[in-house]
Parts: sequence; structure tokens; C-alpha cells
Amino acid sequence: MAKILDVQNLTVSFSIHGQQLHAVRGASFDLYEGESIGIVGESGCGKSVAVQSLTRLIPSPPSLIQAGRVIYRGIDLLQTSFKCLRSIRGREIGMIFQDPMTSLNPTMKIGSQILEGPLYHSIFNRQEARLRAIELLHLVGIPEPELRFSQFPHQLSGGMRQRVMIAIALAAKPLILIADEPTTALDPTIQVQILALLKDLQQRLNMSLILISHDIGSIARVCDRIFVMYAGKIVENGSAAEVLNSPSHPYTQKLLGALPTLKSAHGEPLCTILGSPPSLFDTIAGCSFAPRCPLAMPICSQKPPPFLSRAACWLHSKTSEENQ
Amino acid sequence: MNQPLIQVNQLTKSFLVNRQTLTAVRNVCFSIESGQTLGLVGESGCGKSTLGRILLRLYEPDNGNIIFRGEEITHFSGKKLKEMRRHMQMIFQDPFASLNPRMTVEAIISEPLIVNGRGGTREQKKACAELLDLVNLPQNALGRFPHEFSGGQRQRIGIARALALHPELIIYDEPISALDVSIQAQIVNLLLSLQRELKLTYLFIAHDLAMVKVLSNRVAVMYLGEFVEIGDVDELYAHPSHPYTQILLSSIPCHDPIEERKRPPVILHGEPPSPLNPPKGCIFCTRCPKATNACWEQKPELKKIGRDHFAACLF
Repeated sequence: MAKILDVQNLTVSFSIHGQQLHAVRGASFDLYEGESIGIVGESGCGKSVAVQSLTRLIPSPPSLIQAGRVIYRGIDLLQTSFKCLRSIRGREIGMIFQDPMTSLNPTMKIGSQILEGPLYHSIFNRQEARLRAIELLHLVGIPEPELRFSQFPHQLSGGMRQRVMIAIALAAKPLILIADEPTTALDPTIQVQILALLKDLQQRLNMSLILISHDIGSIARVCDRIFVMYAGKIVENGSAAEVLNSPSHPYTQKLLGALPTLKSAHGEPLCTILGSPPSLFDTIAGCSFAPRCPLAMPICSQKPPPFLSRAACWLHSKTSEENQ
Repeated sequence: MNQPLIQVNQLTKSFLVNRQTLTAVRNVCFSIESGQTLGLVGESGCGKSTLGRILLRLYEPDNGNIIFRGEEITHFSGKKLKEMRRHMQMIFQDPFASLNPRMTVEAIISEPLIVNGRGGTREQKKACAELLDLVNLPQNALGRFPHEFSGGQRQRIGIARALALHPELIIYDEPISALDVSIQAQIVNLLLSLQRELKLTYLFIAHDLAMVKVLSNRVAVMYLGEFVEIGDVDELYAHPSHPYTQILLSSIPCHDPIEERKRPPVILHGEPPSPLNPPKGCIFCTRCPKATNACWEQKPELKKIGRDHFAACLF
């Protein structure tokens, strides 16, 4: 399988009141054709900024992409012209945003919102447009699609609206679908429905999927590979089974330990990570997790750790030196 | 068996929405023993928060009664109500909206003391300092404002405020759902240790069944304003009886992808019906995979199916 997207050392900052806020500090990840990857991290770790920067959706200023390359089918999306970007956004790279309540236009009917993109990209012609929109609504499992076509967003429930968002993203048959926390605002039983739908559509339409979530559980359900993000950097990556069953970075280990499972007993205290993530305004000399890491060594707060085997951690570089 | 601290019988509350009656809570009965935790789970809009607020008498129930500390409090008013509320506190979901941004932390925490005329200024100051210790916040927090704190710290301020009057019952309305995973665990551990130290009784409202399992002794599952199952936590998680509980439990992802693929979640089709127009029979019949004709006509009652385990299902 060929690599469809290669993100290298993506660095994005915002300038706020003259201060630099480092949202993404050199994140690298890649995506193959027909693959689904998950980016997991806590709020404020830069996952949304990272994926929105891929197609330069964040207005600049205030944001500034300071470094990095986003190679999509031989084109560097960070360098290319806006004209070229416009032909990719929504057409080849589709996006589903987190909040289905606010990302639909309340004054437009569902049908016209679905058709806005495809008509712009001239994918549908006007005669068949209505039919195609109804087909899409049907594809994402909305009952009575003909009725829904001419309804407004407020007449739909949260789960339904998220399905409409998926329909909009799929309208142009994108090669890559980016879903930014698609289930966070929904109830558990509806979350299961939406995740199953995403997985099913990804396989049926042979798309590549990037799923962003803070919930490792929902990522485990859908993704082949997982990237763990902390303070703007990818600290660990690997296949879903590797990352979840034998986490390599101390942050991932702690994060998994902090989650209660159905097996945990009543009254049993959870493992916690002391402290809170670093301020985004600080510049970090060493490993960003060092102040909270139980296994931190002196070198951890001095030099950034190299990315070895699966994780960016000095512990692994030490063991690999010993092995040599 | 201990005397229950709070007991609720046949509680019902409806609201008028566009001249239609919306029954948010219907015929709910339960009790919580002193020092124990009842976890309350259900989807959004099922009436969990309304139920929590009725207990505090923030809403007037239409029907039913609430017995707290051996007294019927359903019709308390004025002085008696204020006195009763001292023993009952609530922690709200959104730590950003539930603290006044213009008050310092000291003013926030001492407000309940001032309202209830507890101690002079010096004693109140001392109480504030002790409360901060209790919730593991630094002493220099007193003079700062809520915006200077992270979500987890704000939730700690809310907890300190609730503890100021030494309540016996604390109602938590989704206290951790707005927080990050690593912070959630810190707050859950704090709640567990406070309960042990101060012998508190909790009603813990949440939609995360795994969190509820860690905190609760008993769990109630709510759907469309009614309890569909209630029971001892281990019993209920080991042998969920109501189809809705079974589906909720299967929808919790576990963090082991291998096990996860072996155990595909049961996908529940459709969405909860509108509470303005609930089904006539079993409230879950519109989505239940096991529903038969009887379910559409006959309303099941909560019945005993094991030691401290009740479910409302015809089967």
C-alpha cells in the first residue's frame, strides 16, 4: 500500500497578546491508502490544530505554521497555492468536526448543506443533485431521507446531525476522511452507532481515515494504528494492539492506567498522573512529560528524547545503547 | 442494615413545554444508606439531572415524597428548607460555569458559611484554609480568581464549597465529564478518599458506566424518566438483566483491541423516543431487540430478580 499522507515535523504556533502559544511542536505521522489511524491525546495537546493545519484551515494570522511538511500525493500542502488547496479541501480530504450542533448552518436546509460542496466542485450536476443527496443520507443511515432533505438542522437530534456531517464530508467521495472527535458530544449508545458507521464506510469506500479522539476506547474500536499525542508532539505510535497492550511511553502507560474498566472493583483508587500538562506558552527544553513522569532521569528535562522504535523516550535510547 | 439517609417514593415531575406535558421523572423510588454511593446512569435527557435537583428541592415534585434524615422534606419551606439544605450539597457538571468569575476563591468557599451565619470572619478564613487542604489545593489559591485555574482545579474549588457546611449527602451531577482522562482519575480518587474520611453519602450522576462502577455501591439505570434497573454494583454489572443495561454495558469500549474484536458491541438502532410522547407499554420497547407485542401494551414494574437487584422488564 502506498503512503497517501506524510506529515513531518509539523509546528504550529499562535501569537496571542504578543506571546507565542506553541500548539503543535513538531508532530510527525503518516497515513497509508485504505488505512485508519487514530490520534489520541488530552484536550489542548494540539490534535485538532494539527489536523486542521493539514489543509491550512486555521486562519493565519493568528496562527503561524513555523515548520514542517505535509506531503499529499507528491504535493506539499503547506507550500502549495490556495487555488490548489481549494480543489483538495472537501473534495479529496473531507472533514467531520466535533460539534454537530454548531457546525451545521441553522438557516440552511439539510439538503442544500450537503450539496454546497459537490456543486462547488462540480461533482454533481444540478439535475441529479437532489437524488445524490438523498442517496448520501441513505448511505449514512438516516431514515426517511426525502423528508430530512428539506428539514432544518434544529429538527434533527445530535446523532442525526452527526450523520448529516458525515454525509457532507462523504459527498465528494474523499480519499482521506478526517474525523475530529466525531462522537464526543453524543450519548454512549449513539457513539457506538456512529463509530460503527465510520468504520463500515471507511472499508466500503476504501478511504483513509484519521480519527481524533481523547477516548482511547473509541480509537481502539476503529483504528489500525494509533498515535499518542502529548503537548504538541507524538510521543508514541504503533499498531492498535501494540499501543494498547504493551504501551511503550510512560505517558501512554499512565493514561491507560487512569482509565477505569468494567473489571475495576468498587472503591479501588485509580492510577493518576500527578500535575497537569505543561503550559502551551512555555518552551520545553527536554521531554514535555518529564515533570509528571515517575521514571524521569536528569537527561529527560535537558534534551528532547529521540524517537526510537515506538516511542519518544530516553528510557528506550538507554536500553538500545546497552544492547549495542 | 443501616437506616437509609434518604428515601424517595413514587417521585414524579412534569414540565409544560409548548403546552404539552413532558414527564421528566416518573414514579421513581430508591433509597441511599448512610455512607454509601448510588450511581445514576442514563443518556442525556433521561431525567437524571432533574431527579438530582428534585432531591435538593430545586424543583418541586408533582407527586411522591422525599424522606431525608427521617423527616419528610417534600413540603418544607422557608427556614426549615434552608436548614435542611445545609446537609445536602450539589456539585455541577461544568466547572467553568458554576463558579462566579468575579469572586475570589476565598469568597466562593466562604459564601455558604456567610449565608448560614457560621462563625466570625477569622473562623471563616480558617475554615477556608482547611477546606483547601482537604481538596489538595495550594493555600495561595485563596486570593485568586476562578479563571486562573484549570478545569480539574475548579472542580476541586466546587467540592470545597460544597463541603464547607459539612453536608451528609452530596449530589454530583456529571462532575467529571468535562475533564480530561488523567484529571478525571485525580478527581475520582479525591471523591473516594473524602467519602472515607468524612463518611459522606453520594448520589453520583454520570453516563460513564466504568467510572460509576469504581465509585458506587449500588447503581440505578434510568431511561426516559424511569428506572429500568437498580441493584448492587457487582450484581448488576455481572448479570445485567434489562436489555437496555446490557446494551449500555456492551457499548463501553474496553482498551484491549483483541478482546474488543471478539466482543463486537450490540448496536442499538434508533434513538430514544421523545419524552413528550413516550410509548404506552415498556418505555424501551421502541428500541429493544427482544421486544414482543406484549411489551408495547403492558407496562413492566420493577421486580425483584436477585438479592438487592430489581429490573423492569417483562422477561
